[in-house]
Amino acid sequence: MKPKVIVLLIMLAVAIAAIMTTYSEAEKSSTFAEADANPNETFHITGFLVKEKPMEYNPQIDPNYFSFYLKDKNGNIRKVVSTNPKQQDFERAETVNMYGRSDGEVFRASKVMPKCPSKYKDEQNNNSAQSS
Amino acid sequence: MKPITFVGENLFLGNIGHFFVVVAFVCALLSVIFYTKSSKSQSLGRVFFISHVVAVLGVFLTLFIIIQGHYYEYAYAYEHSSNSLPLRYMVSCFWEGQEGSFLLWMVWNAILGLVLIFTAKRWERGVVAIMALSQVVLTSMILGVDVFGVYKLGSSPFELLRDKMQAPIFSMPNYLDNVVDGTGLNPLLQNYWMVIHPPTLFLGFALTIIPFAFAVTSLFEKEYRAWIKPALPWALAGGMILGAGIIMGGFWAYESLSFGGYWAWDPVENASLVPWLLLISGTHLMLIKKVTNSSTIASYTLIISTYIMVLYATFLTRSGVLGETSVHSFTDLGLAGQLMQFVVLFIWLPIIAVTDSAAKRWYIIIPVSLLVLVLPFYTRISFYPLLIISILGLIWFVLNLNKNINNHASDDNILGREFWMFIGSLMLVLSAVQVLVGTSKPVFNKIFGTNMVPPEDVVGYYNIYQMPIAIVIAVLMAISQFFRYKNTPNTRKLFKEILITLMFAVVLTMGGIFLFEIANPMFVILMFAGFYALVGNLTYIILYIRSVKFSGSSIAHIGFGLMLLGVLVSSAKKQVITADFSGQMGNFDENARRENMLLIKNEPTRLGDYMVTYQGDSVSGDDIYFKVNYESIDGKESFTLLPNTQINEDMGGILPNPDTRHYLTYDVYTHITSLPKPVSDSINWKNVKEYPIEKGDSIRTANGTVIFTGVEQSDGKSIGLKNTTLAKALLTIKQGNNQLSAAPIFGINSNTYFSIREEVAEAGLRFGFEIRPTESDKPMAVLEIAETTPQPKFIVMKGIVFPYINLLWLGTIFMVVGFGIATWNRLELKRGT
Repeated sequence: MKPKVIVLLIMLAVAIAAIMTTYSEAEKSSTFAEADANPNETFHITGFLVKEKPMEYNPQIDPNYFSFYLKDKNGNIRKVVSTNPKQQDFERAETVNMYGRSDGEVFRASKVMPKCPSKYKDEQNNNSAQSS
Repeated sequence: MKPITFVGENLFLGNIGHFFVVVAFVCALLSVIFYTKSSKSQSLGRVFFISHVVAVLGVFLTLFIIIQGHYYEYAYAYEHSSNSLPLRYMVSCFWEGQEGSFLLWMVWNAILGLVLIFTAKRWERGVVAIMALSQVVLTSMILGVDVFGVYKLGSSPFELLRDKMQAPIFSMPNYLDNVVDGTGLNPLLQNYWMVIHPPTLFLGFALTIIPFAFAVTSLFEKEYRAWIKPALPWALAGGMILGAGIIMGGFWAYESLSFGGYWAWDPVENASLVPWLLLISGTHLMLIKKVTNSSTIASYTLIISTYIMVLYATFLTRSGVLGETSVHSFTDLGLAGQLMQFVVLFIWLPIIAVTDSAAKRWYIIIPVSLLVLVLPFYTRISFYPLLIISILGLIWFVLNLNKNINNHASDDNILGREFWMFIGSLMLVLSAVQVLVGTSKPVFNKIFGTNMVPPEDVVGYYNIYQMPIAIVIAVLMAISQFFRYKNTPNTRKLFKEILITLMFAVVLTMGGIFLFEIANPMFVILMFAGFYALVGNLTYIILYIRSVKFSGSSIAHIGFGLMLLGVLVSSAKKQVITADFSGQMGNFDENARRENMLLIKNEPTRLGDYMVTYQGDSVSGDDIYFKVNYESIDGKESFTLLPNTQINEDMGGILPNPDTRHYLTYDVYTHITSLPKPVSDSINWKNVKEYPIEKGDSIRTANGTVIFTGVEQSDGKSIGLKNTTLAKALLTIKQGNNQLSAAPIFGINSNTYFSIREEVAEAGLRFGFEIRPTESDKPMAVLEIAETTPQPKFIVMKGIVFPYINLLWLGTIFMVVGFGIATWNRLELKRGT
């Protein structure tokens, strides 16, 4: 076989492997129950922000402690703790995407991504678009 | 209902603008028709293209007048500009909206087309026809015409505000009296880099169509080698401009976004990186084709894919498919179907070009046209057939092309330079494929109805593939040039060159390990690869380059080596100086990042090698600037950074902008991550006392000493009251080293008096001032003081030191210069024949 062909085949294999891992590892939204069952694994959970429960961020006490309550798709409510400061518009979020793990008591989120609803809905807010 | 006659609208501008759009569309279409019809009608094609250029410039000028003149009856001006916007940002309004950025792209395409009319000679017919075709599609994006009431073709930038928004106010004839100001430009775009980054990027995008057009024309004309020479300078220029545009975006992100870096693997960034990687790969393959007449299919495939990926990127960023996965894609204008038509059309153009018989061409054209027509209605369903047909199309393309070219099987000689260049090009493709796969997740979700989410560690997800690829590419850069094309006769000399440069690189790497304190084996290998590329190409310049003209590639490769080193050191050794490892949360996850620090006003805090003090803030318009003073421990340097936050309700409350101090070997970067809540009404004021005072008096309170320095008298106009006299008590509050001021007001007019208290939450004091008549002649000044717990001002910030980030910027400069030299050289070579 020609060396070019060999290189080509190796690269094809790598490319396919990259695609496979990307789409097989891609985590789907999980639940608190699943996270509890595997305390050392990272899970992705999408849930609704429970606005009735307290949201705690007191930078004067600890600027790296933020907690809130989230209801997962099974309806379980759990306290979530993050080491990132509270995003300024967090109260407005309806659903929250997050990564993290459970320690049995609280869910320790390493990445919190709030989804604010009306950001693009409102025709008047159209100008929040921006170019790359 | 009686039609309303609106007052004060300038409809002429919109009408003329729309007229220009229609003219541009029609002229581009006629240009395509006459260019392709026969060589006799070529001059007509040319005339229509030039008319098209004039019309496009007309559209651009009209829109500029509308924005510049604050004609808020037009939605585009209302949504993207405002009265207070400085002139230098007026042009930025263009690319905030989709319509304007399409227009920008069209203007570049038009200018480039004009250049090609006069320079492309025998290629003009095909090349300009293809450019005109893309102009037809681009113009259709801003046409804003209802087609038989079935669907809207494009979105017009000249749409009236009252047509776009449904609100009762727009039924008032004089509604314009209430629309006095626009909603303004996104504050993130009010940045120097944002003035030049988008035009550069769009010029890069526009340039990619030229090699594509040459390639497709040559396929139609079965000139499988001759197209390379005229197309090469354009491909190199595209690589230079697109690369510069991308890195400017990175610099903008570093200067004004607060994610703490220049590259976040954001889908929008990736979408422009993929075509660049393919273009660079394709350019190398074109060189191989030119010199050795091999890699025909590969060079065609890559140059064509480059443009397809530009269109795919356009689709990704403008169709709304990215959704929340990107922080900065455009708002969806409902153009998804039309954008997909754009992609399909240009995928099928080269396929038709390689198809010989007219009958077969119709087999392709008819089903594709049908598909293209239904696309806008069934975007989701059409994904499946589209995907399958595209893959079949690619196979068809390769098989047909393979049949057409006289495939003289050239042996791969691993001693030939082209072999290593080919592998390098493939590595670039691999890199592009991985980025593309990761970025296309939202599209994948749309097709298969899955709900995959972005990975937890986006940067790590890409780096794990991109790092080894970059290592291989850099090593190939270091060695490839020492090979000769086709065969390297003197292998001893070759091995000597490769080995000696390798040893130099190893020595430098050892030095680097100590200097930069890098231990991670992967990083060490990456550093070695960077140094190897640097040394290899430097040696090549010294040994073989006799004229600047031929140094382009080596200089660009050196640039890449420097970039690798800059990226590596600045990210591997970046130091979050606000990181706090003490932790108030006890046994919290050791890996959890505690990267934010609370700074109380006037309390110096040690961060890294600095004593950092938050010294106060100042307000300017919607911005609050925070004065953060850095003083190095050794006392040698002192500087003040002014990170700011902008109040912007549309963007979710508060928008932080970082500030950075640049040094030759490192940058100190700071941004605000949280602020105290505004003072609430529920403060519990206690110990309310009244003190008769005279100038110079000082009063001790629980929260410091208050000194009454005098009264300032003014009239009530400053607070909007007529016939009123105001007396302002000037107070200085001393709390330890901290000094604050307050000025409560007492006002008198003909029949009443009042007092305006001032709360200084920071000091925990509230003041009221009153002047009371007494029995003697002299009235008495009375100060009322209330106390509460002081609420000190503070900021929560993140500070990062990026070492040697200048290597990255230096590398990009080398790369751009290298591309520039190579372009110039290829232009000269082209003219030489």
